[in-house]
Amino acid sequence: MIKAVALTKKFGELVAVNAIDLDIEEGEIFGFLGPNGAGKTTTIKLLTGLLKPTSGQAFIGGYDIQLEYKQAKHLIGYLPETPYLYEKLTGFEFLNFVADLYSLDNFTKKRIPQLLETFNLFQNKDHLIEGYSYGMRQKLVLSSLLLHNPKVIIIDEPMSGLDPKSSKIVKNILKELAQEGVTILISTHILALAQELCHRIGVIDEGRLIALGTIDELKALVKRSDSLEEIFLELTR
Amino acid sequence: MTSSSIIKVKLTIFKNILLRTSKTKLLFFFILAMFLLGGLFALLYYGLKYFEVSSPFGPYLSERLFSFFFMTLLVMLIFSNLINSYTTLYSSKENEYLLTLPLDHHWIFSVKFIESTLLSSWALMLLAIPLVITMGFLKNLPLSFYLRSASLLSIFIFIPASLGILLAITLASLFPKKRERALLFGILILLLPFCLFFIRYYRVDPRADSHIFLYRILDGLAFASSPLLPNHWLVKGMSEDYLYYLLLLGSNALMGFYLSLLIAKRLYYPSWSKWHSAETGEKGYLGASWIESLFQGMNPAIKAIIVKDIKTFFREPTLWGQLLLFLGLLLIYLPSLKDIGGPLYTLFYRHFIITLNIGGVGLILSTLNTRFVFPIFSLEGMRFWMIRLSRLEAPTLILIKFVSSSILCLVTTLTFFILTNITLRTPPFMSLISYSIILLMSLAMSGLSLGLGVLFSNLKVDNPTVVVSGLGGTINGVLCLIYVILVEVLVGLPVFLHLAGYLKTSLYHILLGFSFMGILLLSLGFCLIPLRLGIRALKEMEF
Ligand SMILES: Nc1ncnc2c1ncn2[C@@H]1O[C@H](COP(=O)(O)OP(=O)(O)OP(=O)(O)O)[C@@H](O)[C@H]1O
Ligand SMILES: [Mg+2]
Repeated sequence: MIKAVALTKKFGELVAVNAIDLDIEEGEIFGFLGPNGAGKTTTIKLLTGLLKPTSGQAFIGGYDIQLEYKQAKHLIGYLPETPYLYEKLTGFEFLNFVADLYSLDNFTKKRIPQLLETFNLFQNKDHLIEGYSYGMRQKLVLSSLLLHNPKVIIIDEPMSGLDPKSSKIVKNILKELAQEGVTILISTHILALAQELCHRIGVIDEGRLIALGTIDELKALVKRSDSLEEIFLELTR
Repeated sequence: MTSSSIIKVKLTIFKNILLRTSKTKLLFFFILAMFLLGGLFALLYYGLKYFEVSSPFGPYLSERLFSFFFMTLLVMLIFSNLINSYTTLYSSKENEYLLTLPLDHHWIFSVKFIESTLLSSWALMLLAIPLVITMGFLKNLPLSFYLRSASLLSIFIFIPASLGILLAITLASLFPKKRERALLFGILILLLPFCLFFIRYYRVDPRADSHIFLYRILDGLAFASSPLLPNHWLVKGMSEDYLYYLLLLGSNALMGFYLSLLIAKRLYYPSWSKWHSAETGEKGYLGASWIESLFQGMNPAIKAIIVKDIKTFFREPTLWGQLLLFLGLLLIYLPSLKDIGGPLYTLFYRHFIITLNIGGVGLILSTLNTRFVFPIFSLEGMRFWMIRLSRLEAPTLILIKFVSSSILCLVTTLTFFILTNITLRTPPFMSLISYSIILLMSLAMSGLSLGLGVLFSNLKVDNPTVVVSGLGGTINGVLCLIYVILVEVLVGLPVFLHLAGYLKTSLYHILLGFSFMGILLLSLGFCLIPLRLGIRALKEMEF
């Protein structure tokens, strides 16, 4: 569902993403790990078609994200590192707006209150977003990207700022969606989350994909059987 | 579906802002706006009426002046569209969001086109209202005149908008990595032809007779009525051949929009991506410690703020670049003063040129202050808690900003004035007066903009365009403008009365003294009142 072919992005001299190849299957939860500045966000921006790659290609559901961007983006639900929200809208108005942008019908719009309820936002639905806390914003964006039933979910740092209950909810939702065949890409620093959720993990460092596989495969790679933390530290040493 | 949704959402945002602003505040804004526009109207109307009655060239003059006003409006609109569309198209976070959605790139562009056009034009359009009403009143025109003018104007704004946006896209594609330099380049492109025009046509020849003198000015304004300029079509269409000029404006506006859409289709997304892939690791220059040593012995907190401000200023090319650019353009115009030598070098001629320069410099100062000084507090405000930690009092902070922005205004404009006075060989007494007026203007406009900046602060945003194009920014701009006009009237009065034959040379100096006193009082008022109000508001603010 998500495919990268020799994907490369240069910022001037700096090669932020260096010839990355990826192939993520339908229904898979893929974890994207790497130290700060490794190139995770940049890769995600290339996959979502926000930035133009210096070379290489990215495909979502078979569509080239640069050439057939509308079809490809229809499949994606994307939670960026620092999401943008319309401060002067209420949560409810914002979700309706997103539904309109995706040209969703009224039947689908009926899901809005339900989604707000799931994320414990219903009592704040008529308040302006500018008054929302960090975690509330995060949850609102999450509900907005679930609205159009995306086939691919791409999340950059999902859990920072969520309380234990909310992060439990999010984890469960993601698991359920994956079972229904949704492909999920998560970039995270929370190794426990990666260990719990992800089927496969890719480790990126200085723009290169230095390891790729299931947790067991990664363990075999570094010849250690400790926690993911030890593996990660060993790999990115 | 999607198009109506974005319009709907923008309207909802507008409604939410209005609903949550207190009614008294809205009423206050409304009354203030009415008062300002009314004042502008009165000034224009009675000023021009006086001309019409007192001079045989009067009616002719006011026609020329209108063309000139709308020409200025055109240039200012191109400017503000260039600057606003550049930020709206490239640096706004909203676009980053919209680009992740399954929307056509050119659809996003069109939405932004309209948004930035409205954002850039509404304040200037508001200023056009008194202008149009003056025109109507002077000639006793029927109601249909106002309707025609409104329709023409609302189409007219799309022409400078297309030009500004086309320029913004071109610049962003050509110079993606040098964001600020790109903007400067654009401003240069725009300003140079305008100035060349000015130099060519604005050679005032003060030959004895005042009417001929006036005639010369008329001639100087003629370029604004060139039949190739949209502002000319606008003014023409208001009085005759309405339909023809409406269609002329409309077809050009449509073509402008179509052209920019065509270019945006190919260039917008690639240039956006390039713009957001700027090179990393830019070193902060001016890290040297010698700057700090300049302020030795000062309270460390004050020193830290000043040093930070100096570094920020020099690392922000948009800021000093614009100052340099303005200075450079003023300097281009200097030589054209020189070749009128010999017996024509009267005191009055010099006074006249100085009056013109004060007006020009005043306009530049009011733009710079509204653009840069007014948003200072709003932008700093987000980081205000940090400065508060240093236990500096609020008034101290404002005073530091006041002193530094006044110095900046003064340095730039004084350079120009010293050069003008040398070129004109102005006697010391008069030079001194002109310098004092410049000093007063710098102080007044910095004080006004800083004070209003606090009163109308918007701590929620980090985009100066949003701060400046809000109501507070507009009021600031208009107040600066009114101040400049008043100063101009006071400075120009002695020479004007002389030219009109009312004033004997012996009385000239006395009247000059009175003018100066007037400017002094006016400036103190414009500086101190907003500054005090601002400081008081700041003391009561919570962070
Ligand atoms: N717009 C940009 N322009 C220039 N350089 C950039 C830009 N965005 C990122 N970089 C550089 O590219 C490299 C990779 O950055 P990226 O944001 O992809 O890292 P990351 O893996 O997401 O890090 P983190 O874990 O801190 O979020 C960094 O060295 C960064 O400085
Ligand atoms: Mg990141």
